[in-house]
Amino acid sequence: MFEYKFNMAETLAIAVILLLLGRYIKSKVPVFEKYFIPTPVIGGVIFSLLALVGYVTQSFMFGFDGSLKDLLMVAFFTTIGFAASLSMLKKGGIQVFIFLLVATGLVIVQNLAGVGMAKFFGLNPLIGIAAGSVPLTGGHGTSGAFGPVLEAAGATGATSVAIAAATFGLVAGCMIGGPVAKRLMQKNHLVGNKEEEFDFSDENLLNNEAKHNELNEGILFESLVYIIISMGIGGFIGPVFKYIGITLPAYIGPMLVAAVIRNIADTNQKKLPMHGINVIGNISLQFFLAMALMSMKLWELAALALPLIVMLLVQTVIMAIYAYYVTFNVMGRDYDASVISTGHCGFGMGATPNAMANMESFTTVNGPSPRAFFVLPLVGALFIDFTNATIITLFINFFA
Amino acid sequence: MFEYKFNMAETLAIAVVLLLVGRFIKSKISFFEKFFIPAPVIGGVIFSIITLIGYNTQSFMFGFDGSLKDLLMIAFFTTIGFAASLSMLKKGGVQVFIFLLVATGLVIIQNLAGVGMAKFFGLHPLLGIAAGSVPLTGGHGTSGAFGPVLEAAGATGAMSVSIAAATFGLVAGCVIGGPIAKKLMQRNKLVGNEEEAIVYSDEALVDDGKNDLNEGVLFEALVYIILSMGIGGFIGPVFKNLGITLPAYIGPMLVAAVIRNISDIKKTPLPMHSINVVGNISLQLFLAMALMSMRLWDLAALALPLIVMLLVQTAIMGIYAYFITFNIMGRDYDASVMSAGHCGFGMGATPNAMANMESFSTANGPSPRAFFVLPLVGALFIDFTNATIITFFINIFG
Repeated sequence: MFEYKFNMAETLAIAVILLLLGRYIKSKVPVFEKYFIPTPVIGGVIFSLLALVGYVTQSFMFGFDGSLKDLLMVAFFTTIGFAASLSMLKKGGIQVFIFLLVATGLVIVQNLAGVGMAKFFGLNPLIGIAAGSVPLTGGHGTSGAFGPVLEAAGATGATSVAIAAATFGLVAGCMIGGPVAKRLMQKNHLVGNKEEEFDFSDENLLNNEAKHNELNEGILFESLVYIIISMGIGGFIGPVFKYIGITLPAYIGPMLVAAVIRNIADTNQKKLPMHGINVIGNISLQFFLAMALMSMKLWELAALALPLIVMLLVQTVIMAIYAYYVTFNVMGRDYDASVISTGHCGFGMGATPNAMANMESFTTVNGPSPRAFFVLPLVGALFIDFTNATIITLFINFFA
Repeated sequence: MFEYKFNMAETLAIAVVLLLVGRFIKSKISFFEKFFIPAPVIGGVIFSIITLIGYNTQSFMFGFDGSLKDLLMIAFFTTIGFAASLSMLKKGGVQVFIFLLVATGLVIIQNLAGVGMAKFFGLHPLLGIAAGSVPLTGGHGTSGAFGPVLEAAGATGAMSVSIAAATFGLVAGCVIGGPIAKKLMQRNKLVGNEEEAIVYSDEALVDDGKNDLNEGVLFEALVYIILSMGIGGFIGPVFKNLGITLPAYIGPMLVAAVIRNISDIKKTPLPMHSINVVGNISLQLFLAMALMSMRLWDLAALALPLIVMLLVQTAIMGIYAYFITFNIMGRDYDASVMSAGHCGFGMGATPNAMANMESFSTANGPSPRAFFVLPLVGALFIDFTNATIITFFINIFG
């Protein structure tokens, strides 16, 4: 068998090639566009299929230098931390806060269901989390980050399971969103808004710091300074918690430090270079995802295929029921609540872009809902990663 | 003794802190501004002094994760490769080409002198290269890249020697540049140009107007750089099979240069502005990491020979600029400005050369030709010829 371990530069180069390949394929195949399958997922899965061929035929095998992957993963979540502005949560009003609670409630339900089903199938309970809120509310980023943590805790194949579930979730979330909202409208005789009643203009809120949208070497360097220093300081939080017996994934500490820095900056009326930080975060995410996906061991999925399919179908049903009964009722039983429910289907199974797409296609037909478009991305961009990570960590420490 | 090995993220964080410290100190102390001592050098040296204290008192010791340093070093030199446009060399005219030859001549002399002196002092001959063209024509970047190569070939302390020599060179090059040009003017009764004769506008040549930066352009730049690094990584092992040791960055730099010239021919401009930004940030972080892991105690045993070697190298630079650079570049006022520039360039870095020429030409009249030729050679080609010659010497004396 031919074996080759790629060094750091080669690993990075392959990631870039896969990104380009994924981009090309995405531009050619409309299905990927429609369900917002991220480029690195497409490219990475292709490579992992190649690795699967090598594994099955016992002819070749690749190894990668993983240190850069971890660094970029931590960097990405650190940039997420910089977005967690409490003053923004307050400005967003009670609706944002309530939706955060609703979304966090789903996180708990998803993990309870996952653990329960995993036990039913006689699997490691952590595999249930790898098919629970990690890929569903979390998405590919969280899967790539928590997968190795779950594997280290004994759940072999957790990374592949989580990545597969995250990809499934993107599609499923888009598909159930429309029907759920449609039914809510009919059942409750809701009428769509005629026109935009108020202009929340979420872009302004989300990007009000990014008014200086220009990018240059100085701003880029300043952003790097904030990110890297948060990573350096935050690196010490994990070991402290480990000492108390709590396992945190590597990114939590840096993300917390970043959030603290953000809120100190907010209180001092100091602006962080958010645009630069977001650009670095986005590029880090792309590279990190490509690297996480290309090192995925698809053959680990084979043994889990049947239970995984069942678990994901059940999770899809749970999502629909939750959106139909819980999200809709808690969010106010009106037209906006139905739009938020369809958004929550995309959000709770996939990612924020899926939520936006669900709401977009629903509101173009039935009338605008600025409130939904304001609340959902705010929770998706700023806070859900915090509550999700906290709850996942809780489950891991309980079931490991 | 307390020992701690910093992991990748911590190493990076310390490098950033040192960069900020270096920047702060540079802004406060005008000496550093004047001689263009780079901020990472200031911050890095401070940290290496702290580790020296730990070493001397045997109380603490730090280790670093070096993998990111090497990656950033290669990234930086790859971005240098993207600047090596042959069509630009041609557009620059025969003067640029001649100056490249003159500067390359100095590289050979610096290394011959270095090896000779090292043998005289009974040192490893490669230490002479570590006080030769590596730090002098090369500078801190080349020192950080070749230092470990020289150490691996047996020259213990080569890293610290070349960093120390590069820092010395920045100052010495600035100090000798002015007097030499002044003397050249007096001896040859040269008259400064009255006004700007020709506007070469080197900026338009070096830049491609694609000056905006956004996520897409940045990503594109990263794609070019990383692909060159990935492909170029295979060139080193191929040469190793032939018995030639190349430093890790040469392959990627060559691939980048090839890509640049292909795109020149096809008239598809590369995102040079972003590439330069990525290169610059990589250089800063790489330098800070290289300098903070410097073992200053290696220098102690070499202090006396090193001082002698550097003084001799300074004298060689002065003589070379005075007799060779001036005569070959045309014995006119522009040639004298270039001689002043070459003192900064051959001992330190392009900014020192520009500063020398600036201060000389403000007093004696402008010289657009000098300002056109020198940075073009400094930015685009000297790293190639220097690296080739250093590699040649290493393979002979290693």
